[in-house]
Amino acid sequence: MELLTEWYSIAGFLVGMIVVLMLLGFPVAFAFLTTNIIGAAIFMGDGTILSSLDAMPLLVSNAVDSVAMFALIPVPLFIIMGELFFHSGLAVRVFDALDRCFGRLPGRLSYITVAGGTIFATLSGSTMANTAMMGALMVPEMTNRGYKGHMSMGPILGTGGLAMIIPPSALAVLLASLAEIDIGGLLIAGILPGLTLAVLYSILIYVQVKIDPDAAPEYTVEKSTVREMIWSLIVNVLPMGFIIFCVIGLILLGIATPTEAAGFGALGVMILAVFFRVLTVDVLVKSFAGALRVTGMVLLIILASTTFSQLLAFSGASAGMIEWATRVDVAPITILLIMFGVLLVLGMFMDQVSMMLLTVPIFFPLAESLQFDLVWFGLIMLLALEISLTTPPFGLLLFVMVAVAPKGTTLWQVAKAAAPYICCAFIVLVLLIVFPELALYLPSLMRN
Amino acid sequence: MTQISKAYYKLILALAVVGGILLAVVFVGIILDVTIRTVGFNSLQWYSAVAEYSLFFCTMFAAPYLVRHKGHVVVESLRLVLPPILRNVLAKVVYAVCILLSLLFVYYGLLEVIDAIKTGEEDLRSIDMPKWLLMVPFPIGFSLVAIEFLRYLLGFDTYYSDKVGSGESI
Repeated sequence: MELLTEWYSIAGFLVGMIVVLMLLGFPVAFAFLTTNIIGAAIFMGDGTILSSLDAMPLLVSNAVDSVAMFALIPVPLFIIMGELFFHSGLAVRVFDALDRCFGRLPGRLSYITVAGGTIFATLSGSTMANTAMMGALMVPEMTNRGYKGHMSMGPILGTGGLAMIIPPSALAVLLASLAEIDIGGLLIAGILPGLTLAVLYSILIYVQVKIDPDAAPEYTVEKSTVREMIWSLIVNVLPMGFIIFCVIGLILLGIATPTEAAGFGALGVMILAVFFRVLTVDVLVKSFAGALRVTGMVLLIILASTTFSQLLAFSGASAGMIEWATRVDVAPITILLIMFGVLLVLGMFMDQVSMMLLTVPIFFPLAESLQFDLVWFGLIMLLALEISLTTPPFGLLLFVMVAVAPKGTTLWQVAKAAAPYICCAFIVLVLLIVFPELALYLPSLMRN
Repeated sequence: MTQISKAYYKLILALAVVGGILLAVVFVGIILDVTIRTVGFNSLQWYSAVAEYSLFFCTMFAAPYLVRHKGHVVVESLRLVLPPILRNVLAKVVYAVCILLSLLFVYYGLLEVIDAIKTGEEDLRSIDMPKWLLMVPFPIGFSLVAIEFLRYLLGFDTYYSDKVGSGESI
């Protein structure tokens, strides 16, 4: 116990214990709960197991307050919205319409993936659902057409992560709630960087096709007249603007709070599903069941981790780190890059929610002490989380892709396909550091 | 025995269904609240408290169902490099610790419930709710979670897929 006197040893002990327990195979929520009890014994009691029991009433009462929070309501609502969007088949209609519009453009299916994925990102809050859906829909088609792995899986992995940045994003809401920053601001801040990333992906595809035209062989496409294209877009894509309006429009216009907009986003999808006659009881049941599964999992982790951030504060780890960061003679940007690097390393074996809960109580006070704009910093953090989803060996999206890719596809092949897209995300990181307005311009408009 | 286990599974399923219905209540409530407010009436005073309580209730009600269906995220990467015997031993240790933790939460949750009944304490939000009613799902949820982990400990099933990659996330 004598060793646990300095902030770095305390923080290292608490964070390290969670990481070790996770690696031993504890469900994430239980890794947090175990650490809370042991941490409470050491830092709130006299170090004996019995003294940890003194903290149990605190842990129990924390449990209610940690999840019975109005700020967390958009999380299930955005998940319901995404589940409805996928289960109702509205997502497939978007792809079909885009398919008509790209003509015989070299690499057309890769472009369609980026365009469709970007639209999906604005209609669904779930990165995993986006990637699984696009993977199942596009990879078999691209494989049949002779597309090489990096042209088929790469764009899907890249655009799958866009859902985390482009609003509505359930993870962005969660991050903003945990860090107690402006939820609407963080959601809106993701629009321009997200679109920039989509444009960079398109440029990347163009370059890849130029270098190796055989990577995406041309094939005969049933020709559509301009009239057919426009009609298809009007019928299948334009109505999706209604959903985007329900979420982003209502927030930007100041009519609805992000929480309320999340509900209206889900309602928007329902109305469209009714309009297209695809809303059935089965779709509703599947969507709510899927939403409950993800919500229950995420909220239990939040419930378990709340005491963890209190432990960090109580033990002096948070205050010690902030004092160190403000005293040490290192440029703030270096500390930012260190935090970014830590997230990338954690992302190699941890899911995004766990990473947030582990790092938010440490990183946000640190960012505040370095006088970073917290919305901007939140977006940087989301970008790191997005990149970490596709970093080997354990990025979650890599596994989603292996599951939906043709048999025999290895994790290494998937990771190689993702690499150039990760580079694009790093370019956006540099742009955000050099031009913070890229993230902060739209939120400033909203505030005005 | 089969009858009991079937009835028990139905209980877990029923709680999960209640959790799903609560999500629907949150969703419908928010639409109603904003609509009523927009057309000029007073907003639903009770809605925010009901929505907040629903989040807690659906977390607790879904927890045992998620344990049964391996829905709580685990990291399997290190386990996979271990020899199968060690992997099994480790799994049993994890199950045992999870049971112990859950039982601790059941015990202390029950103490909170009893204490709240005795003192008549209320949770003061936009509606006042007896605290014991708010706390009751806590011991219920964790006791069923403990039973679910006991099933794994007794070898009826394994929580792990023994494949790299973890479960669902946002």
